[in-house]
Parts: sequence; C-alpha cells; structure tokens
Amino acid sequence: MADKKEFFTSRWGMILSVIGIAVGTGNIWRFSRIVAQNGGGSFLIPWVIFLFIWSIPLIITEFAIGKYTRKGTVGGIAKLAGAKFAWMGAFIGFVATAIMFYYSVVTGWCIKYLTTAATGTLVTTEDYMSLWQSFTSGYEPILFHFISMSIGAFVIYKGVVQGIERTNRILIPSLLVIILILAIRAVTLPGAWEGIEYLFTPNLDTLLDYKVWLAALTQNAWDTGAGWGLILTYACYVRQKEDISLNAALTAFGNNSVSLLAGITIFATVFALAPVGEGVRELISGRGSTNTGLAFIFLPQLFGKMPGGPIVQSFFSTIFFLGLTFAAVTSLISMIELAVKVFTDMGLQRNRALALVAVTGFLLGIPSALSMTFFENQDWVWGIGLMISGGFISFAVIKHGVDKFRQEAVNGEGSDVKIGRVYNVVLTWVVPIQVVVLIGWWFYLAISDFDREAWWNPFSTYSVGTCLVQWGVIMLLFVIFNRWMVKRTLSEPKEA
Amino acid sequence: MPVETLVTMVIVIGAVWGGFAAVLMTALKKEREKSSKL
Repeated sequence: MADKKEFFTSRWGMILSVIGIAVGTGNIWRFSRIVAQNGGGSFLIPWVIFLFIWSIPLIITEFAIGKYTRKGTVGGIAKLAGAKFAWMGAFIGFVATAIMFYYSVVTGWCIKYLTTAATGTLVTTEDYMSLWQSFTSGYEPILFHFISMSIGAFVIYKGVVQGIERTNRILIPSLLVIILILAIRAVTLPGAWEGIEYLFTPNLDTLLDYKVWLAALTQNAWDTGAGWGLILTYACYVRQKEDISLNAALTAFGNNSVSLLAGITIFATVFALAPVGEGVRELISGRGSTNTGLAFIFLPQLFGKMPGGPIVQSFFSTIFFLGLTFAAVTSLISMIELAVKVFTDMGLQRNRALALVAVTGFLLGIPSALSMTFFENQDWVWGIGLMISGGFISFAVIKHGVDKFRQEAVNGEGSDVKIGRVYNVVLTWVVPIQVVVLIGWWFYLAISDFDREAWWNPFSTYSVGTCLVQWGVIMLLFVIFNRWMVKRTLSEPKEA
Repeated sequence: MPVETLVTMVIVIGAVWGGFAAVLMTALKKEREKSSKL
C-alpha cells in the first residue's frame, strides 16, 4: 500500500471501527467474572457511574487529540503538552504495543478453540482442564499467535479504508448478531432467569464496599479502551467535518451495552446449565486461575450440556468462539495500527513500519505464548501501566490548557453538540484522582495480598517491583531519545 | 422478582442501552441535518 492520507469514509464506518477497539475479549470474559466476584447488581451501579466520569471523558479527549493534532501518541502528546513531553506519548504507545505482544497470543487461543469447536471435537471432550493445559503447555500457541499476528498485519496492510474500516464494518455487526443469538438461546434455557436475577440483585453492604467501586473503575479503565492511545490513533483518520463528543459517547455506551449483553448471556447459561449445588458464584469466578478459566474451561463444558445434541452444542460453542475471535481481532488490529502510526509519523514508510511491528510483535509475543507465568506478568505490568497512560493523556490536556482544548479541539469544527465546563473539572481533577487511587490500590493489593513476601522483587510475577523496573527502563529510554523522537515526528512530512 | 432487582435492572439497562439508543438517535438526527444542508 502506498503512503497516502486516508480517512474513514463515513461516520458509521468510523464508529464501528472505534467500537471494534473497545469491544474485546474483556467484555465477554472479564466483565462476567468481575460482576460475579463483586456481588452482581451492586457492581453494576458504580460501573455505570464510572462510565460517565472515566470512560466517556477520556474517549472524548482521545478523539479530540487525534483529530486536532493528526499525529499518533508521540506526536499527539508532543504537540499538545510540548516537545519535552514526547516521551510520555511514547510510553502510552509502548504500553498498548506491549499489550499487543501478548494479546496476539490471546487471539490465537480464540482461533484455536474456534477450530476445535467447529470440528465438533470441543463438545465431546471429557476433560476440559486437560485440553487447555495440554494446549498451552506445548508449542501450538506459537503457531496460532503467528496466525493472529498475520491476520492483523494483513488488515493493516490493506490500509485504513480497505483494511480497518472494511473489517470492522463486517466483524462488529456480525459480533453483535452472534451475541444476540447466544443471548436469546441462553435466556430461553430452563432456570436461566435465576442468573439474570443474580446479575441485577443489589446488596447494600456490597454497594458500600470501596473494593467494589475500585473493581468497577478498573473494569471501565481496562474494558472501554479509554486512555490506551488506540482511539487517539484512529481519530487521526477522522474527517475534519466529523463530530467528537457524540461519537465518543456512542463508543462508550456501545462498548458497555455489549458487556451487559454478554453478562446476561453468561449468567443465564451458567445458572441454567451448571450442576446444582456447585455454587454458581464460585463457578463463574473461581474456575481456572484467570479469565481464561471461564472462557476456555468452564463455558465449553457448559456448551456440552446444552439440550439438543452434539450438532446444536457444536453450533453454539462455535459461534461463541467466533464472536470471541472477532472481538479479539478488531482490538488487535488497532494495537498494530497504533505502533505503525508512531513509526510513520517518524518518517518510516508505512509498509516498512508494518513489517517492523509485525515481526517484532510476533517475536516478543513468543515468551507469552510459551509461558503462562510470563503472560500473567506482562498482563499485570502493562495492565496497570494503562492507568499511567490515562494519567499522561490527562496531563497533556492540562498542560495545553483544558478550557482552550475544550473550545478548540472538543467543540471545534464539525461538533454536533458542545461540551460544557464540567469537562474541565473532570479532566483536571476527577481523572487524575482516579489514576492515583487506582495505581495506589493495585500496589496495595500487591503488597498486602498477591505477593506479601516479594512485593519489591522485580522477578516476581505480581509485584510492585516488576512494574516499577519495567516502566522505569522504558521511560528512561524514551526520555533519553526524547529529542530524537521529536525531531523525527514533528518535522514537516514529505508529500507521498 | 424482588423490587430492588427490578429497580437496578431498570436503572442499569436504562442508563446503558437507553443511553446508547438516545445518543444513536441524536447522531442520526444530526447526520440527517448535515446531509440536508448539503
């Protein structure tokens, strides 16, 4: 593909692409597990509140930075906050790229289980735990990681319109249809209503528990794509006449709508099909060590118990993993595009940048494909790192002048609705406070619960030390190369 | 179904799906207005 300025062809193509970023595997597996762990209905109320004071303001901000500066994370932050802060943009970009390394592995797992379900072997499996363990302990995850990275790279190779927009125009509506089919089947199973009742029943004690509020904030921070730099990247390709605030709100509401629908589907399925007496809450939250336990061990087991025989069971397990694969691929391509955009901003030809990102992404994803411990460490370090990214985005806007940014970028050309001064308060105070509280909370958990003995140890999986060392090394490198990055990124581009 | 469950359901579904529908309708209206001006 030649290097040329491309823009999303329509508002709806752009919206579907941005929803594609936000809707990922976390909407399907993490949301249900966290709701179960945090008291069902009691969790949903703070989850909705944080949608308004974290997700929507940050998504508006990312949209505005991308459209205003037309640069990726490095150039966007440098243009907004000043050249000496380009390293912050590089850090934001690196966090999303480091997640891409192992997210490609996750996408590969989804593709593997899709093929297993489609061939009918998944529902006839006797021991789902062994199936999962034998798969993840071998070399097969590398093959599927390669396949997912190749698919992602191919989409990006095709460009913004023919690749990103076209793929999302097909995959996102298909994903919604798949989730709707699964939801209809789930809620019509005998006993399903108990699951829905559990999902929406609040408990006043739980509602007053600060841990539930922190879990709800974390879910919004990880699940909506707000503060990752991905929406900022896609917003570089938004036409000048395009609105920001309504599109940002559509993205956030669309993302959480999918989470809610997936939650209803999973709770209904679990309550209808789980063996009586096993304790459904424990089944949702406790089987397997992580989110993967629910998606790759417990749910396939339940699909095997669905009434209608092996063909019906295979059909529903296949479309479940097809939906999971679509959700993963649409997010993966945005992570690849983010890194490619940073390099093209620095003057690298797009195809060369893509080759560099795809090959590096494949190679650096291999350790996560081979070792669950390495995978969990990376998920911990860069998952918390995302909160710093959100803080840096907020800092850049504050440095630029929040009110100036609101008037020029958010409420600028093409805006359908004008955002009021409440935005200034949220960006200046509410978002930074949430960043500090969240990082403090996760570090407190690491010290008091996850790894009491070795919380300082950089080689321990869930330690504070591992976060500080990995972030520190990356930040130091970017600070050293700050001037070089600015020179490459903010110099006038040569016309293609 | 307990009343508090029903109330939570209405609030959450109303805020999330209702919010999505309301924003979508506004966006469609604005888009129509933009194209009629052209």
